[in-house]
Amino acid sequence: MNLSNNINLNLLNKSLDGLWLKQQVTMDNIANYSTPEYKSKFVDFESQLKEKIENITLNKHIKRTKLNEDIEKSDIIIGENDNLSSRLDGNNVDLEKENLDLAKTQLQYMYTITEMNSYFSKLKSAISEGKK
Amino acid sequence: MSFLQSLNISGSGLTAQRFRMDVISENIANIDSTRTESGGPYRRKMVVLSSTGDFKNLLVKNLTDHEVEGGVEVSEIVEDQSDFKLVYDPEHPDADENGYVNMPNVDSLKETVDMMEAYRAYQANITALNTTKQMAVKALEIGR
Amino acid sequence: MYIEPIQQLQGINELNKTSDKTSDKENELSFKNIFNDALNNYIGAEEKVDEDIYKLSIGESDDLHNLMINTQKSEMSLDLFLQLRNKALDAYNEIMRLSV
Repeated sequence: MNLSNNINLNLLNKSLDGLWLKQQVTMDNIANYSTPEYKSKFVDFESQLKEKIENITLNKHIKRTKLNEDIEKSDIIIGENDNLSSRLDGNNVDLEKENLDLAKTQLQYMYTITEMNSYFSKLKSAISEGKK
Repeated sequence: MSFLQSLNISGSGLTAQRFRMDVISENIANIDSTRTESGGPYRRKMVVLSSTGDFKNLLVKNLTDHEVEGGVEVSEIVEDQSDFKLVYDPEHPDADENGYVNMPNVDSLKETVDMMEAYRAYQANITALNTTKQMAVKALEIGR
Repeated sequence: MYIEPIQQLQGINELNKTSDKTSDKENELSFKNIFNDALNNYIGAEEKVDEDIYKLSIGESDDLHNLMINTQKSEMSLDLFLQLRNKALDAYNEIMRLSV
C-alpha cells in the first residue's frame, strides 16, 4: 500500500520542481541583464505535463501507476529565447518580463504548496479518524 | 488563459510604455540630426499602440492556435509627416541655396510632456500589478 | 356505581394516523440519506479539487480564490463525513452494549 501513489501528489510535486527551476532561471536572466550577447533562458514543464496527461486521459483504462510514472518522467525543458534583441550588445533580456515571471512563479509556488498541505492534512485526518 | 492573466496584461502595458520611452529618447537624442540614412533630416517617430482584443484574437487563434491574451501592444512605429522646421543658417553644411536648413520636426517640449505621460502610465501599470499580486496573496489566506 | 369501560384514547389514534402521513417526509431526513449525501458531497468536492489542481499545474488556472474555496470545501466535507461515520459507529456500539 503506497500512500504517495496519488496522481495529484505527483502532479504537484513535479510542478514544484519545475517552478523552482523556473525561479532560478529567471534570477539568472536578471543577473545577466548587462552581459553582452546573453540570450535569456526559459523553462517549460507545463506543456510536457499537459501532453502526458492528455494522452492518458483519452484511454481511461490505463492504470494509475502508469500515469504516475509518466508524470514523474516528464521533462522539464530549459531553452534559450532566440528572439531579436533591441539592444546594441546583443542581450535580449526583457527586465519587465523577468520581474513579472518572478512574481508569477512565486505565487504559483505558494498555491501549489497550499494544495499539497491540504492533501496531507486530509490524509492525516482520515488516518486519525477525525479525532485529535 | 494563463496563470494570473491580469499580470500578463499589466506586463504588456509596462513593455509598451517602456518601448514608447525608448522612442521618445531617440527623438530627443536626434533633435539636431540633419542627416539620416534615408537622406534628409531626422523625422520624429511616433509609436502606435493598439489593444489586443476580440477580432484579432479570432484571427490569430485560427492562424496560430495561440491565444492572444489581451493587453496592449505596439502595432507600428510611424514617422511624423508634419513639415520640417526651417532655420536660417547659411554657414551650415546642409543649408540650401537660400541659406535655410531643414531641422528635425522634434519639439523638445512635446517630447518632455510625452515622457511624463509614459512615466505616469508606467507607474499606474505597476500599481495595478502590485494590487493583483496582493489580491492573490490574500486569497491564499482563505480558510487558514 | 357505573364503571366506565376503558376506551382507547382518541388522541393516540390520531397521532398514529398523522405519523403515517409524515413518514415519507421523515425518510428523506433519515440518517442513511444524510450519510449518503455527505459521502457524495465529499466525492464531488474532491473531483472539483482534482480539476483545479490539474489546471494549476498546467499553468492555466486563473481563478485562484475558487481553488482555495474548493480546497476548504473538500477538507470540511471529509471532516463532516468522518464525524458522521464516528457517530454511527458509536450508536452501533451503544446498541450492542445494551444487555438484553
